[in-house]
Amino acid sequence: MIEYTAAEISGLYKRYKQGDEKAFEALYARLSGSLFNYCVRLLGDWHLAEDVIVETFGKLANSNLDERGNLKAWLYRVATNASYTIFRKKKTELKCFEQQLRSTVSNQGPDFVRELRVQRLLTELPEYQRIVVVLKFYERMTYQDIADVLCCPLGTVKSRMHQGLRKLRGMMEDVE
Amino acid sequence: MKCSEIENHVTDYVLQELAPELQIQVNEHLAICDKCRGEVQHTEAVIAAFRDSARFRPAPDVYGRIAEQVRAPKSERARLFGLPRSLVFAFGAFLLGIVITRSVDSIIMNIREPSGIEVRQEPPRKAPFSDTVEFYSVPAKNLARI
Repeated sequence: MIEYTAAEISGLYKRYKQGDEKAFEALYARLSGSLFNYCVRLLGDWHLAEDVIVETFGKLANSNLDERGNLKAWLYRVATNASYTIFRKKKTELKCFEQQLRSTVSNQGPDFVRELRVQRLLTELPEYQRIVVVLKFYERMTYQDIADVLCCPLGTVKSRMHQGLRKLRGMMEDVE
Repeated sequence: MKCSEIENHVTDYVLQELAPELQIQVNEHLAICDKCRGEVQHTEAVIAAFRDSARFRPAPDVYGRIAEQVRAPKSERARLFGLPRSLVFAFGAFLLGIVITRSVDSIIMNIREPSGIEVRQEPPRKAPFSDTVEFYSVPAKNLARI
């Protein structure tokens, strides 16, 4: 994963808006990995996650944002909204994730079992809690960053996080 | 700080979201309380299970799809159903205008003519002396013999 700073991202976006296509490629290289992982964990489907990535970066390419704004939060917001559109049409199923995981992780090995277990726990959470949990655990965002992404009060993020983590703890105890 | 208070702060403590002064208080309590320390360790284990799991990356062809979308000429992007987007929107607005006007008209008509009251149209009155000749069919038995 390529490390980056907010200033670097803003600089790349500014260069892209000035006509430098390489800057867009660099933006994609820095942001696509974590954004894709976020979408896979939310949707439990590689193909849908790819569609969301294409839509999100397509919107970024045609956007005219203020470079001083929080570009990362904007991207995650667009991806989250696109994921919500998918949630409304289709319930998240573990079967899809399992099939796609088989093609990437050695079948039935410990990695496969662990990944499947983690995804099963995430799938059990309601979408609004899953989003907060994934942003916190995988993207290591602060509560304030998550509130910026979701455009909601800080208290809402905290309560969703607490409820989500309590459920996850309960489910893990049941499994153990 | 009591154990019941610590319970509310365990998640934020593990996620390093506590205010510094609160963090110190929780640390002091954890140093003397095995039960709360166990709670913290359990929560850390749950979070670690997620943080240690795999990170997925998009397939190499995804960037190609984005590039294709971005490079599409603006004229192509500005088309809808093969027609210029502005023309489609103008036509849509026109249709919408008609629908709204008609529905407003029908609402006004309903207000003027409440349902349940039948409006009868009277037949036009005949002039007492008309040039037109009318023929009636009369049953044969009613005809007088001449």
